Amino acid sequence: MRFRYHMTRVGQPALTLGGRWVRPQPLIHVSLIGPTNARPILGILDTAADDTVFPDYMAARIGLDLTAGPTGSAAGMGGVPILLRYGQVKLRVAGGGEFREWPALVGFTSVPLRYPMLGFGGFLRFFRSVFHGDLEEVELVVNSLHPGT
Amino acid sequence: MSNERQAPDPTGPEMERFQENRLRYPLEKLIGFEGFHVAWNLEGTEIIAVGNSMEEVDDKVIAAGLAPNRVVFDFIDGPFARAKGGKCDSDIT
Repeated sequence: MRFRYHMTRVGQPALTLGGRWVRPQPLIHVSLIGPTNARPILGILDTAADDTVFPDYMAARIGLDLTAGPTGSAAGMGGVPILLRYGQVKLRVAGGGEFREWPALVGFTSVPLRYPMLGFGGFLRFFRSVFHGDLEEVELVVNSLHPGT
Repeated sequence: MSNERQAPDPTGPEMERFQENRLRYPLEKLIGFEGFHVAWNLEGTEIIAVGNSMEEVDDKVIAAGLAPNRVVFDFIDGPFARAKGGKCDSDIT
């Protein structure tokens, strides 16, 4: 699956990108699927995030009860650890005519997020991920750990 | 607020079509939404709800009678993202 980077406007030329007025970001459309509902959302592929993390309000909206679930912390957002409650969901992505769905243990946080973080646990661990800086695309290929379809 | 699944979840082709259309959407048309969370229609051609948090947008989608599993939630980043004091320029609420 290949995903083109999304462009975000910047307020001054991005000097490290040759003075462009946009910055590319690896955002992809992912569906967070729970027992009773789902939430399609753009998440950011984040190789610095220990885990895959969604906002905690979303757990209840997809029918997931986190009260009895495990808790922990994971680093993300500049390496700062955040408290998480974990829940079992399914994740779906599609690109290049390929459709993937897998069960994943993901974290939920009350920390405000701009985008869900698609980190190592629950997401990147199941793919060989190639970030094509020249093409501004990311390529995801399922690996031997991928537990789904 | 019902959590019952109201409609089928997006198919692979629908997810891909969203990505293609969202990438084609002119950045200039997003300026008024910078700094806000939004919900797109599943086609990725129109913003249908906007708010200061994902939860607020989710609430608005449900209040409008739309199936929240048939929209796509997003955040619009940009240089005006920190300068608006919580007020969106768009007429979309």
